[in-house]
Amino acid sequence: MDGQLVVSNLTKVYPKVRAVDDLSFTVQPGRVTGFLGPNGSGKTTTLRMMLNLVTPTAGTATIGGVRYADLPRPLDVVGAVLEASSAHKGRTGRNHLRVLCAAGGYPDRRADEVLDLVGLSPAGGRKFRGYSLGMRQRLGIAAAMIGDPKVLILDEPANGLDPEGIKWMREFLRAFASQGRTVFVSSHLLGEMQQLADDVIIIAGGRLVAQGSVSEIIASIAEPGAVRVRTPHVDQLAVELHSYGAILDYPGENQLLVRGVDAATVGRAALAARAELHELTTEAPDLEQAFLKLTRSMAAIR
Amino acid sequence: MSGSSTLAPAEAQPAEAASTPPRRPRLVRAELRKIFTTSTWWLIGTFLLINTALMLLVHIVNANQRLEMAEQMRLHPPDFDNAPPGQRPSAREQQQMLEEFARQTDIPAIVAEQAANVFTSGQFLGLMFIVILGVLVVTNEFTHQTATMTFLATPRRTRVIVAKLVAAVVLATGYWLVSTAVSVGFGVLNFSLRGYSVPFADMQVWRPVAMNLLAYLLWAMLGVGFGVLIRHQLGATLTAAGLYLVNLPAALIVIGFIYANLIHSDAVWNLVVAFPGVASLVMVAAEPPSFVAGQEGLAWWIGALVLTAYGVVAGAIGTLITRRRDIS
Repeated sequence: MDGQLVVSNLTKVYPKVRAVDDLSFTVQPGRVTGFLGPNGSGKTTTLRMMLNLVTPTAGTATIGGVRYADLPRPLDVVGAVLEASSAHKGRTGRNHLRVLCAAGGYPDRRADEVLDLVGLSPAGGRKFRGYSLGMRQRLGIAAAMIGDPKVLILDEPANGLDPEGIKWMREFLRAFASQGRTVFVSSHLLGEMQQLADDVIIIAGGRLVAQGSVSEIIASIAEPGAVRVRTPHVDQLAVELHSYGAILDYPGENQLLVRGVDAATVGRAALAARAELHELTTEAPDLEQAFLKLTRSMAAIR
Repeated sequence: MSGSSTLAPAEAQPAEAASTPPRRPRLVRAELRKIFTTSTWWLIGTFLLINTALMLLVHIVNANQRLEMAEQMRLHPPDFDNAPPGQRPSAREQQQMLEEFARQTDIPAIVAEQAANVFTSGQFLGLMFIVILGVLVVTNEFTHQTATMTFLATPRRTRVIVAKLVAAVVLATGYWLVSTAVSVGFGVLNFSLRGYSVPFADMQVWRPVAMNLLAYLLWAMLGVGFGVLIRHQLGATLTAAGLYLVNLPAALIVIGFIYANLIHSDAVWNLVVAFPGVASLVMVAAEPPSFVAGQEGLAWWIGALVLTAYGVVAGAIGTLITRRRDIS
């Protein structure tokens, strides 16, 4: 069985809202796929429908061609780290995993193996109550790895993690995917996915907005960055730039922030205006802004 | 090994199969682990034991008083010959008085009756703790958000509920064993120190003890069903305990209303057994309790039947709800 995820026409209608609306996409093994969308766009509902926790109103979701509910040993195939998934506060991490060993049909030593895998062995005998957010997230991954699955599904795994935790998570998921396995990870931050994912699927208002490789998506949605200029001849340059249709901002003395034209055009305008340049830099495109713009119109029509 | 895996398309995973031979999921063990890896089980166990110990003391003192009274009475049998002439009872009355005297001084019968009481010490509140245990087995999953993990490991939710019912029943049996061992141990010690031997073979003695076990099992199942219906832990616990405690008065009020306004027949009072708490009382009672004056009491098996029906219905409804419910 391969670890391809196929979602077809998935729909979830709640009494007051269509949380997920005729959503279809495919997630390939051997890659990290980001599942992007603003908060409340239906990501969690979609993931929970894929895992048989929420019943779809219509449509199907399969993992390697099989519905989750029909997997004979689901933990052998899919490991999931979901947001509203936790452990009993008074139970130790190791016992939490041992419960899962019994329920999934794994030997108890598997609990120690996965604790080791996520670097949580020293805290295995401590109660969940005393775990930091990073430790809780690691325990979640340990639980997901109990059956050595082919697919990992994670809901906002970086939420609340410190930079070190995020780095650890990123490396873990990249290594997992490099073994030919499937990683499907949701997030509401495009920047986070830029560093982690190979592919992204973007939804808003429960509908598909875009899907493709990260570089494609970024190229298609990102606007060119603004050009920052420092010059003692702001007024002359501004007059010249207006004739190129540029949009100008005045962030400080002797400074211009130019939008709508590229750096070469600004240089040409400066030459024509006989303006002396002290700085001419193109700022990085603001991905989050572009992402918000892309998804906001969809979210608004709900 | 994995007999249940025939439902899915065959899959080849030689590498993993070699390193980790697949085992059968053990859902009851998982549920028991959930219970034994937190403090719930010994907290409930402690309450149960304290309650048993206190009630045991009360029942033993009571039993000893009854036996002492009977022994005293035995020394003074009715003496009709010394009665003043004219006040001497008729032959029939004499016969009745002698029978009454024999009944009140029948030491073996009193021992049996009191032994049944002693051996089921702490039953009333004990059953409340058992129903709370059943509630916790389910509501813990939602309070601590472990339901997601549970249903990810076992997408067939009916199996989870069945495992929870079995685990609750197993634990209830354990509590019954401990509670009964303590009661029977100290009870027998008390009776034998006073020179009485307990007739264990007498149905009057062992049936209440056995019914006590049945009550433990059924109330554990009822608790599980209740926990599914009300997911909020505190709400479910208080409601279940409250309903258990006020069951008899509530039954009397409801049936009283029906009697006064709808069906004016004495037989209507027998319907109180339709309430689970009353059914439980009928089931465990040593003597069939009567709710209609001058009528024979309700047999224990009527109570057992009603309570079993409640247990089965609660389990079935709980399973159906759990199968359909969205876990989020």
